[in-house]
Amino acid sequence: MLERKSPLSQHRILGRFGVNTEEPGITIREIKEFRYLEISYWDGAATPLKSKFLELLTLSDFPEAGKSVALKDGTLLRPGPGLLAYYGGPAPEDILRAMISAGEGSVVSLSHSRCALRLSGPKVRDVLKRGLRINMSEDAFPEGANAYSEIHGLSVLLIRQGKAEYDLLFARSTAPNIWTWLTETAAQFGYEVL
Amino acid sequence: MSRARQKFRISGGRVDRLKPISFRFDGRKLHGFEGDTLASALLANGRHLVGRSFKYHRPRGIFSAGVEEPNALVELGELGRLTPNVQATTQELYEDLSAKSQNRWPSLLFDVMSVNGLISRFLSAGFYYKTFMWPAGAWEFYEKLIRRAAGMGKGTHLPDPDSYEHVHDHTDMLVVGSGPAGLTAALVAAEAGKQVMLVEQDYLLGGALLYEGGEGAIWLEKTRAALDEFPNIKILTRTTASGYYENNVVACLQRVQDHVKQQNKHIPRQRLRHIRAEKVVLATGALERPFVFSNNDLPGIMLAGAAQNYLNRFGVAVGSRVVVYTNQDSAYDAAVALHSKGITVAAIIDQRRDVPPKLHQLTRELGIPLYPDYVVTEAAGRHRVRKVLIHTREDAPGGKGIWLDCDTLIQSAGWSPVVHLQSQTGIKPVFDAGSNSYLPGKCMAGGHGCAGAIAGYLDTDAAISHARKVVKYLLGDIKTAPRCFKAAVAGISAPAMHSSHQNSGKAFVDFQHDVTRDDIAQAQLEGFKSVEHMKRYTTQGMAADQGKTGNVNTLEVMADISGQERALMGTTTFRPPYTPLTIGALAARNIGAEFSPTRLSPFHECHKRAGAEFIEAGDWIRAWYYPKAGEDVTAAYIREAREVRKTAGMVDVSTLGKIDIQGPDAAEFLNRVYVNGWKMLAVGKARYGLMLRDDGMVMDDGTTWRMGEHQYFMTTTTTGAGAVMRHLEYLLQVDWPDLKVHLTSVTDEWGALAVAGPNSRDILMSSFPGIDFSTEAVPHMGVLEFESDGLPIRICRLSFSGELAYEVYTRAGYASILWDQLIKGGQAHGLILYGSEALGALRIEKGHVAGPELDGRTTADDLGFGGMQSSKKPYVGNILKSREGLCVPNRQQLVGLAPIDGMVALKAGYLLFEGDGTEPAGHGLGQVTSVTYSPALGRHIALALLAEGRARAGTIIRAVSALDNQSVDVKVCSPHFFDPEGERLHA
Repeated sequence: MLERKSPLSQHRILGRFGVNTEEPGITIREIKEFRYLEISYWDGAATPLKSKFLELLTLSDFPEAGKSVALKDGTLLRPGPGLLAYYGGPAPEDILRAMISAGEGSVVSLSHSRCALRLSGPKVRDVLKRGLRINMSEDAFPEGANAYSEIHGLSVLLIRQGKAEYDLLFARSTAPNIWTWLTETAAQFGYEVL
Repeated sequence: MSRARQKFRISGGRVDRLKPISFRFDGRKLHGFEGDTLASALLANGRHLVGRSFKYHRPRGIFSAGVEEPNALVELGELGRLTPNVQATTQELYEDLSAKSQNRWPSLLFDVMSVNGLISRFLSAGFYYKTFMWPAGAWEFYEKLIRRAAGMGKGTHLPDPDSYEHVHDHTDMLVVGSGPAGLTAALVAAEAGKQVMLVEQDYLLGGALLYEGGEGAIWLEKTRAALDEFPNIKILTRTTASGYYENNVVACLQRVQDHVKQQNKHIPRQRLRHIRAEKVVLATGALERPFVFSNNDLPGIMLAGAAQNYLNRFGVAVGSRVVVYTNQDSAYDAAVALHSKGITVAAIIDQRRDVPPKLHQLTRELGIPLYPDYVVTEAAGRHRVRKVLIHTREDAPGGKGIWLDCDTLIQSAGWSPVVHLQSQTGIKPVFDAGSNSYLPGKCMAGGHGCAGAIAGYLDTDAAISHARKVVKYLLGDIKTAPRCFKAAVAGISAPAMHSSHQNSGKAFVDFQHDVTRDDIAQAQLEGFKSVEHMKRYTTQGMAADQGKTGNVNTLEVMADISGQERALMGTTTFRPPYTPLTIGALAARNIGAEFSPTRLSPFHECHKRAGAEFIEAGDWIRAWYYPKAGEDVTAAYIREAREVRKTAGMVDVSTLGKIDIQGPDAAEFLNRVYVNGWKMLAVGKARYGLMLRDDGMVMDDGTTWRMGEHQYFMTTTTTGAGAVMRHLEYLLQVDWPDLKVHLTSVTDEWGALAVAGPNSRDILMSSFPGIDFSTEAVPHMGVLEFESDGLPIRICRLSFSGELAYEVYTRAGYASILWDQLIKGGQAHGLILYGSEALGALRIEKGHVAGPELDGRTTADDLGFGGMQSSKKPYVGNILKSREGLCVPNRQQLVGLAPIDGMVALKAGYLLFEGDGTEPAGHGLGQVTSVTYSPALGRHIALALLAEGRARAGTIIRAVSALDNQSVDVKVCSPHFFDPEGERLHA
């Protein structure tokens, strides 16, 4: 299997940086070889698609807008109106393509167009709120929540994976810009690149 | 030891006397304590004179104790950190702080430019509109002198070494201000379980309670302790709410490291916080006003509340013999406080005839002479007030009056609620004749409420009670909306009288911009009667302090002069920011290389390894050329372009916009978007397309490939990608919502290399063994998808260079694998790398249009694509392309230009004129758009847009540049310079 080259390969240096703290305020880990598929569906196709998803992907439930449900190797997100996204390990791409007819919607693989970082630690929200306008409070953005937004004028997808754990997805061509923003911002809290 | 040097430091206050601090002012070493501001420390050292005024260079002293300060502006820091116009009244003292006075030369005590005072009759309001205008043309000379003489301090051109950032906060309730009303509001909201943010511009909570003493101080300590019990309250001190925007978004400047000597490089100096709040409580308090009288700007004249502040909060006596001047009760508190510390209060001058009996009794008990029904008409002194002249109201401005000796005059003409933030929401303040001030237009409005002194409740208990009601109303706990306290309604009246002694010195209404009462009068006389006109003419209220202490007095003076009723005069408009913001805070991290994002191709590292030089192309950084030893860009691109036509070259085309188009109506969608037909395009084939804007002009071009029954792959120009995506999304969402089509930008998903040249087919065959690249298998505009050892490949045979060429795509993460594979496959076939410069040369040789020709003003016919436009179907731009003006015969059309002397280079932008010897004039017949040296032809060539261009083929015209002083004879020709029949393309 071919290895996907990271757009951050020349930028991501492992170690502790920024202010000296006992525990880093935030840890940064790049997620590699993930799959990201966008599934768009037309008005009126939601109901039949929902049934297909529940049956063929053995979903516990169809995700509400801005939320997600877990699959075997990944997560099904619903980041926008008429839009689903699969994010995770080996994708059920064939199943998805087979289950969605042209009259119902479309599937596009964007795995290579995105760079993904897992951000965690006690100060992760403090870092993210320096770029994102999203309300990340417990009520407004609970675990599993996801939303498109922007940092530094660049489109990003934020997924809350845990209490203090988020995945940030962004375009690979602008990855160095996001990396610079992230590391400069995180320096005041102390950060570790894993 | 430090205390001994601080002559005016007395007991008490909130400074930490165990932590002495050394600092410098104009180079002189002075001492203060932790907890001091620069102003309080200067006053403790007996320094009242701290600056010179803007226009007349008059000596100025510390006037207030807060953000309203108009006079005590200093220069702080050095080199890249040099910051002018820092208010000494808000700057916290730190070890080794070094401040300089501004706007003086050679020294603060002796400022040569103070001669401006002698010629002040020539420098009145709007003088630069009337004087220094002759002789004509001399203004530019005068302007430099005037700007040099005036000013508010000088900045630096050096890079700022500090960092800044933006923060986005969300909260249930934002409370602005931490006086009694603000603290109460925060506490009540927190008790109700709300997430609360409390912002305070000072570095301590408490507002006026910090210096009022008595029960207020005890309440403050108790309340602060109570706030600490609530984890749902976030308190931000050193944070000023500077702008209030739609949907309860409040911008707040947090000064993170302005108060420390050694800044931590990892921590920003300042943060601009964008706080989005469900509810907002404005507890911004009120600012004290001065009086207007002759020489009211002398050092030693300050606000009464400020004197009390310095005394009780900082343990600093502002003078040793103080006269108090007022028209209302609060100044008596300052007088009593000063008296209690052993400072001589020489007199209290009260404009009111009917001073309340309790105040008569108080002054009698303290032995302070009280002058009811008197006004101060003049102050005298050189660098500090030495005496003041008082008259009875009846005698002023004539009469002999009484001179009172003093070294300080403290004054209070009333309080102005800080309505700025609410005004920024569009709510006009309303005039309250009783307090002579402007109150919030609405106490409760649109998710926010005004609590405490801002709403007219100056008494602490009343402010607390009011704040409680405001919060409860915002939370829905009570139904009756709280109101502002209108003194006029309560029967209270304390109008101020601004009176100057006859023929005495200047009486200022705006200290920071040196605007006098006479300037206001002059503006009135010259017809600038509206407050908005007066403001522009005199510049009153336009300086860094935005007239915080001067606006109300200006309106009073205007009313006095014009006889207009105050309530009908209106006010000027308050706009953000409330206090000045640094440009750094606004820019935050969007500076330098991060000013705007740059995009890198997935082959970027490959280019670097190959020694490429790079160039910006829109957002992208592209490989420009690959120099060999000793080559500059010209030599390199000529070599590269020549080799492409001779053997083969490889260029990165990943920056082209790429859009995945899917849906049962995709063909119909393309048919409507492009001028040419798309319904017959077979799967596995590509087609060149041209799209117009609604107005009939060419928008963009590119190829679109049919990948499946309902799936297409569109490419756009590099710089047009974003606009095309927006355009297509708009059409789908607004114009054709019935079409089942999905668009997804896949620009970042694919890396793409174009392999061009006679050997390109051989290179692909070597790179991807087993794949048939014959013309039969991959004809011109044929599309092929396959995997090569797991590498997904998408190929289209198309050409921008005019050579046999293929665009080879793979998923972006595998880009370097594709690169290596093609380099290896090309080794035996003379494959070279070429950059965007050679790409440009090759396309100009072929007459292919690009950005310079697709400039938004050209039609398809102008560019020679008229025949492409279908007459059998409608498409975007179809109607308006037929406008009369777009069909006239003298439209500028795409042509080629060949200089008669082929070694003479043209430049893009040269204007084109007839070649008949007439003098070039006007805009000419057109302009040169793209130029290059053609390696294939061995001469310079150009593309141009020329009026009636195609009809001029074969004629000689001139390309002229007035800038270069060049006039070049050129022959008009076809834009297709090289291989016009396209034989190489179809090889």
